[in-house]
Amino acid sequence: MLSTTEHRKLRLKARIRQNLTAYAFLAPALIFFVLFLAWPVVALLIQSFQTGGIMSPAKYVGLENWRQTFTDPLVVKSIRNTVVYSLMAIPAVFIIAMILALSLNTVRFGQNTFKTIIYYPTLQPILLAALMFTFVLHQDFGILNIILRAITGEPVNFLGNRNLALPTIAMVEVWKGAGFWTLLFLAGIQSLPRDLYHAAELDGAGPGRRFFQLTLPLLKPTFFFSFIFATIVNLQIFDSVFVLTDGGPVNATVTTTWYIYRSLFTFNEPGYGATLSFVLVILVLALTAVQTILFRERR
Amino acid sequence: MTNHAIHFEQVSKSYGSFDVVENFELSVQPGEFLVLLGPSGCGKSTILKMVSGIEAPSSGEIHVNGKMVNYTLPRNRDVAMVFQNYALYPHKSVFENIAYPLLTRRASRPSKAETEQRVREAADIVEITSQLDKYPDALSGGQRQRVALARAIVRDPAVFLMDEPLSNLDAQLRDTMRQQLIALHRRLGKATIYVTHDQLEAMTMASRIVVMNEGKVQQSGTPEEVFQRPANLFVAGFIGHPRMNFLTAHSAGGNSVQVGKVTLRTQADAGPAGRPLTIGLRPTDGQYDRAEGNAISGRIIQSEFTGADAIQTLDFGGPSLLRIRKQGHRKDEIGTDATVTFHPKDIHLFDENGARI
Amino acid sequence: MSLRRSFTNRPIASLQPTGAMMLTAYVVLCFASIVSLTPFLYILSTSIKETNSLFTYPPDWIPASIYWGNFQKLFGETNFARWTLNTLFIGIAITLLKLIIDAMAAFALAKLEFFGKNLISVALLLAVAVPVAALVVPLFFIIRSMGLLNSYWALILPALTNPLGILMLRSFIVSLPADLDHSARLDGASEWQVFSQMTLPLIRPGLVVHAIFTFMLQYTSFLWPLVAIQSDKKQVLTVGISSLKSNFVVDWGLISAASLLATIPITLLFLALQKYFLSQNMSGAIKG
Repeated sequence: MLSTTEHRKLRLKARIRQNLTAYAFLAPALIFFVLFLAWPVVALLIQSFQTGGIMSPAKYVGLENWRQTFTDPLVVKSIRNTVVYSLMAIPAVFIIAMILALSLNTVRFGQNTFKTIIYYPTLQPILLAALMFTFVLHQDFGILNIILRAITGEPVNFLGNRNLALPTIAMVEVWKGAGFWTLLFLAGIQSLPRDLYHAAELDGAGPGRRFFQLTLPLLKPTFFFSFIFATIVNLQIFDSVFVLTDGGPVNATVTTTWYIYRSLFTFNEPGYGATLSFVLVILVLALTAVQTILFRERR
Repeated sequence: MTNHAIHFEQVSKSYGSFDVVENFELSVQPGEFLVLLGPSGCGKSTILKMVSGIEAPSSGEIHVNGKMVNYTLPRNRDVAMVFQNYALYPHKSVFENIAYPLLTRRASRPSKAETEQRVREAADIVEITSQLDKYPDALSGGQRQRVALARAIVRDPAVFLMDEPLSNLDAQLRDTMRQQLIALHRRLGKATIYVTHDQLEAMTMASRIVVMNEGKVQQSGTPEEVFQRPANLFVAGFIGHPRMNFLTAHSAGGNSVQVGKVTLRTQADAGPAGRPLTIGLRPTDGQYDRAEGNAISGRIIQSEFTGADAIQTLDFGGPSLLRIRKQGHRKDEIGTDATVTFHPKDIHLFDENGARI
Repeated sequence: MSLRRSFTNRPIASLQPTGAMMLTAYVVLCFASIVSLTPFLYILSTSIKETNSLFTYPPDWIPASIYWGNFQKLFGETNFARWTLNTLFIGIAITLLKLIIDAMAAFALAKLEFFGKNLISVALLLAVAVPVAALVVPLFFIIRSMGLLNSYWALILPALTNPLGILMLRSFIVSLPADLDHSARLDGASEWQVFSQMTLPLIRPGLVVHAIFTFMLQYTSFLWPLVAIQSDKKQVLTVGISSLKSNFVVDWGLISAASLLATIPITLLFLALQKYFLSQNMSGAIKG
């Protein structure tokens, strides 16, 4: 038998070989991960202490960007708009998707056709959905306004109205996103244990009670992932704002990502954009963490 | 050491503070069919995994063909394994499954014709030639088992490892496969470690049985040895069907023991009078209607019909009931008195620690 | 027979849907279908009309004669065809590269032991929650310092990073029986062979879902191409179409024609891989 030291040496060699193999598989992903995700997050923090950089070399300005961020009313507004937008879009799209999923689960014929049609808008880029929505919302030829005119005689300026603009942009997300969540919830419903429902039916629970006391609680894990995913995506809202309102009217649809983009290109202030970006990262991470904790506790 | 096919030297495996295998010592000779027998969780599968390289031992050394393989990659160990669930490659045809071990190494890859020939030979041995074009999905459990065997055979490895290969088959098929495995082993003459919890498989197939429990070897010997001279209470209780009767007793001095009111003569020396013991009586060793030997009399309180014979439960006023096998079966015997005798050599004695005396 | 069928196929959430429930469900679904499809049908209608005629009220739903001017202008005066080709090329390149990169990493995380495994797993999970829109500023400078601004590489390289793909493939690989790999290794396979000959063929549905997911993500991306690409000829479809709206006088007919045509590639992909789009796998994708 070999001595303990020899064994230790050989074991170390085997471990190194094992690690080299594993890291060979990981290397491409890790390189890209570090270069285009981990490092940019660090770079955000560094750039938040700088000014310039696009035309002229970057200069350190200490806490200037941060000081400005906390006193800039448009920052507050952009965060408020982003959160309000998410609070409108996510619950709306989830409730509608749940209704559609339950309906799909009820019907016997044409389920696949309905699934396909409802899913179809989800395929389109949000930018395209927003662009198509100009043909729904336009005061003169928007189809929704044509209908409204036929009913009330008056068209509505959805995107020009300070109070309507943000909900309207949320509407685009609902139209585009409903199909995705419908299919996800439908898959969730159809994977629930059948026996439970038969037992509940025997116990005299009607469809309403079965939904609230069985389906919803059992779908909790699905909802958890969905909420987190939807939060992360929606807090980055940019495309539809860019193409529909460009922040207007009177900054009513200024979102954080829009402001970041403008800081970089229109205002030539990447340092300020980085500071805002850092705030957005923190916002998303914090909300995700809160959701995770809430979900864990309720379980 | 060099002439052993497999050699274990103080092999231990633990997960955290939990010891799965403790100080395992064993040498398997070339051509030997060694069965590792024990209840689930006794560490027998872990030993196979350590030989194959799926798991690494925490300490000790494992040698295959005289070469220490502790740090050798599984692909370089020259062992073939048959898994409990067969582990057939579902996306490959039967032919491709069997051919796979021949094709993984570029350096030693045989020609197309040779591959074809070797696959057919292996398939012939396990009688699966007609299924070569099918996919595993389309095969029955028994056929899958044969493909797994063919895949192990085709490489001509130094050692075969088999992890409960028959446990997923139905009882009838298991009987046939058992016989075919014995024939196969005779034909190939390769050292084999066969893991099972089924004592029937162990007794019928093994040239040597190693009984394990809680990570430790309990006894190692031929099937006859472990059956006739179980080394301790665990082995005595684990092997043999129906299970051995255990009765608390004490030594009556010399070659006799006292069980309740009954005194029995034994072949082994029971030690000084009064020494606490456990005696073991196999239900199959009891003889009815015989004048000589150690007689135990009592009342039959239960009789279970099992086919050719019956298992009767006898209350002889001792510390516990006694189960005896009797040929023939009559319901009206329940409640009657009976006398059974045991030959002194059939009385197994175990000391306070459970070790055989 | 028909009795048994209706029993086994019975929807579960409402065990025996009453006639009223069934009717409600159909009404809801029909309404949803109309809402889903109307915008598409409407831009079809507007794309074959002259922009001026859009402003007549009541509208002319189905024009008497088809006006091809919008499409002629789209292909004659804009880079629409280039945008489409760019999007497809970049999308396919990213999908293929990311598929192999993610599958390799997922294999290591699911099947191999190495130092720092937990750390990497946690980092990947955390990274899912990092909003990529917040990274455009540093990414702009990183890509610029590499001299890659305004090139296809500017779009391809950062897109290879999304950690969701790795996590998704990992969950597919973890669900494969471990004995298959053990068996392959004992049969002489190297880790690369285990990966390419056992794992990859067995997670094909997962790879298709991953590919769809990656392609869609690229196809729908807007902010990053807007930041990284200045040349109109190298631009992707989303940014290209949106640029049509930035003219002082908006040519709505042109935009509707562009929007309509822009739906075609993804619709074709959808029709080809409908099974995967609508399967539970796709939804499982986001659960990682």
